[in-house]
Amino acid sequence: MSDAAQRRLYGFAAEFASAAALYHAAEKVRDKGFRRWDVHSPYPIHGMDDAMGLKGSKVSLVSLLGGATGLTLAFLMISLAGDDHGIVKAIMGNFNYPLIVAGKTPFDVEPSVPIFFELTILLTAFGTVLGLLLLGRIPQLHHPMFEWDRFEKVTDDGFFIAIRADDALFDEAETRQFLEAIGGTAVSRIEES
Amino acid sequence: MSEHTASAPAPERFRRASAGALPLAFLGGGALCLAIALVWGLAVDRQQFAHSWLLGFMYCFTICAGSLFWILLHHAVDANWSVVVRRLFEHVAALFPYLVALFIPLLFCLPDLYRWLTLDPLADHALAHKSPYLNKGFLLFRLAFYFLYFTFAALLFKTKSVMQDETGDPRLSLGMRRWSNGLMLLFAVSITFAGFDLLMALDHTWYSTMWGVYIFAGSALSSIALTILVSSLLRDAGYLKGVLTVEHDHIMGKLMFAFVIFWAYIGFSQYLLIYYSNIPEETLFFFRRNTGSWLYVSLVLVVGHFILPFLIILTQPAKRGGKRLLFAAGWILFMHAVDLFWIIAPSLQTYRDLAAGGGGDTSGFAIHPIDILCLLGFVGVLGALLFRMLEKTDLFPSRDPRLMESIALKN
Repeated sequence: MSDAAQRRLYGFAAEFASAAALYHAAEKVRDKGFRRWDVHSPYPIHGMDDAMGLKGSKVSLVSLLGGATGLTLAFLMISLAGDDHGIVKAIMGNFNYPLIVAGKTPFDVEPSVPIFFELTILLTAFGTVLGLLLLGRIPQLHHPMFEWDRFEKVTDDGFFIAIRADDALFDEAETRQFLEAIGGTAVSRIEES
Repeated sequence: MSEHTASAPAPERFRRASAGALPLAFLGGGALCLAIALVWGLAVDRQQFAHSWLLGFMYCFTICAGSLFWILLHHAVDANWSVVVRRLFEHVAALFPYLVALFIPLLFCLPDLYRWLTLDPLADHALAHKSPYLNKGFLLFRLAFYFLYFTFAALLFKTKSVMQDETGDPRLSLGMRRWSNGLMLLFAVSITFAGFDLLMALDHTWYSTMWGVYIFAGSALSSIALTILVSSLLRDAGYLKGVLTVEHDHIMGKLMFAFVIFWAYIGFSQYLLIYYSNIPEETLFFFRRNTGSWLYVSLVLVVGHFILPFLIILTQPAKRGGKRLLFAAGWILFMHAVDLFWIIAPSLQTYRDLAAGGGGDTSGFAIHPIDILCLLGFVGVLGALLFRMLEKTDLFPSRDPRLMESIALKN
């Protein structure tokens, strides 16, 4: 058992009979005050965010940053390349490649708008995907829950709650009892490999 | 996992007493404004009168048509979220018969509005090409068609929906869904060509194929803004408790936000294509509005109709009800009036210039008191009628089969 002793405790997990049971159990875990815990289900469950007490995601902030970067980039691209007049000259000085294309003077607002627009959209999309990956810690190649045999059911018909050992309220005996009390079956100790 | 055990909320109606003297003020003030505009306008300046009246008319026309669009969409896609606010859309759309009646004064001033009616097609090259479409008989036929269509569709949905309050018959919902698809097609045709005939034809030499979508974008945007405003005010006055929730605000906020962007996208696309191809007969419209002091009105539109509301309701909390959403909705309704003013008022100057021989029109931004009288008058009279409708039926479709789903909405 020397091997097992070296393994770090991840937490306790329990199985629930249905999505509804999982939902109501999650509400109880939330109300108990746990913070570091998660639910696992074969499909998204409507309203689970509230049942878990999750706050709004911060991805939109990263999106906004991406959008602002895109707009600035577009502005710099156009102004550095072509301007020799007006407000941009006042700010940036001369960076001249003032090509006249199709009779449009450099840095006219009209032809610049599609560039502002497209780069803003593009970098907003990049920011959103990047923010999603970073905040969701994706990709995650392994998860301690995979050590548990029963957890295979999570892609089929298994509903699980796992309370992590690093939660402030975690206590081996009490948490096990608590999971049983809120209707969990097959309560198991999950260890990191 | 929402609770489905809750029972349906009791139907409620708007009580006149809770609005105080407001409906009366709307009716009295509106009627007075319209009467002054009629007498003053017709006595002094028929052309100004016709254009101002058209401004007031189109303001309400676009909002009512937009409301019909949301009803049609609700039924066509079998939406559930919009059940609790659908009655408001139905009321606004059902203002169409009154709106048609208010069009009558314009029938007597059509040549003061559309200069092509005064021209001989043989003498005007542009008109000669367009005369199979732009002739008086066909115009009157089309106007009759639009007004009949909008009146019929609006009253159809309202009648069936109110009937369901009595009977609770789910077949009425199915019937409305069946009607909605065909009527949605006719809606697209009607709003597009109504936009062409009533606004684009103010200058018969100009054309833009995106015009119909531009008018539609303003319609859908302003009507959702009105519904946000009215539903929130009703809730503040103590109605719709436990029926209209912050989740509905959120969805309507999202739709309003989307249509703020859609309006700007369509408006700019129309502008960019004309700017790039640089063909005189197409650029005339924008040239008129980008020179002199009209430029500032154009810039006000860019900032006020797009950038400002975009920034105000960009974040999620701003869309979830509250003062910011209300302010944005009210602001958009104001900017919608500016948008239509920006379309109609310069046309009057062009009309006058061309009628005087076309010496080159340099007159800048000018707003006539009759413009404001007509806008206030139309909003006042139709607003008073809306108050009346709110009293006469339940404030939400109280026996719609999907009412409980709508109330339990989660974003």
